[in-house]
Amino acid sequence: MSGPAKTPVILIVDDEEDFRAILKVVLERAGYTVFQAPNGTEGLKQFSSIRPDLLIVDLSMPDMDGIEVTRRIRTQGSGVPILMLTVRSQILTVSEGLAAGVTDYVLKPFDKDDLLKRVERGLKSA
Amino acid sequence: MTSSPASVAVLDDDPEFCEFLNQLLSSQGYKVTSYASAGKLLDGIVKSKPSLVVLDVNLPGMNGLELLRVIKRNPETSRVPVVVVSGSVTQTPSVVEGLNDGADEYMTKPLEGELFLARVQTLLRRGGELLSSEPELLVVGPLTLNLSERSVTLKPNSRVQLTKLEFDLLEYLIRHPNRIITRGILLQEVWRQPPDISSRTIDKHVQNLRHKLGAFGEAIETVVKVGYIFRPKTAK
Repeated sequence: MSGPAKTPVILIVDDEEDFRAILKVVLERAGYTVFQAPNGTEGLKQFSSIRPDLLIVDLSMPDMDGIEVTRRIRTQGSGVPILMLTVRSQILTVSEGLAAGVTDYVLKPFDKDDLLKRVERGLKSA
Repeated sequence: MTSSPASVAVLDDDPEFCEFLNQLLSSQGYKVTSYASAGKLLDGIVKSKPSLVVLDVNLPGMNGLELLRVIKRNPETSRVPVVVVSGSVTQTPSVVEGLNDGADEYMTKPLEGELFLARVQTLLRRGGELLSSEPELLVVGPLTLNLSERSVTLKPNSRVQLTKLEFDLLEYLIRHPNRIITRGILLQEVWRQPPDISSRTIDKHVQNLRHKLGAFGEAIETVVKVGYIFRPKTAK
């Protein structure tokens, strides 16, 4: 007999506390379990211990950008879906991110429905 | 806003893909017109002013990205939202080029129907709230933002004097309606500064902007401890 379906776990890595707070509320209301990290280094640590089903990583962080976080996770052999957050003025980095193994990108400020669709699609791709 | 169905213009050299899009969009009540060449699409956009354009980046003859640049640089067509579609993620340089040239969204084939429709709806919702028959104008309720003159008017006939930063701030808020915009995002996108200078600067500018806009300014709501949200439906 199988147990109840596991709630997908999402790890948010973003240095902007306010933005993490909004994302957390939106994702938790959609039924996901959410963890958060304030920078890339902490994000990688939490990734190793939590083993989330999906990551949402900001492109611009002071210690390590989202592309580097993605590279390090892919180097570990993980195929976890990764959505990269970016503002429109940094859109040129999308190519580099996708080449590093980012699954999809989300533009800030995000549209809630669009974000949830991308999360859902990311989880399906895992 | 009009109650007639939104119209979508599609340009792709693959008839099967055009048929797929036609069926998908028609099933949701959109009026779809497929074009066989870039020239016909441009002609169609100018004449029939569709609500949205879907373009493949790989077209015979004029490249889809060249066509995108033409659409976005022509004042008659520049405000039509464009979704760029590419064959695969391996075409990311094209995708990035497309986004940089003004595409509003990109997607890769094979398209996932539900996700595609969600993005189309988002773009149409955004476009519909700003729809103006004249180029270079953003119109929300009684407010008109003239992007070429960088002027702002409020009905019935009052001109609002804004500083450059206040104008940029208002344009950014209007272009991102109904989304929570943190101070960090505003710093990056309007101030073009890393998100670590004092957020009081932003609050002060928003306060001034609201004051100058009078009752319309109430549409710029504060999200406590986070930032702001612009709600066009409450604009008066």
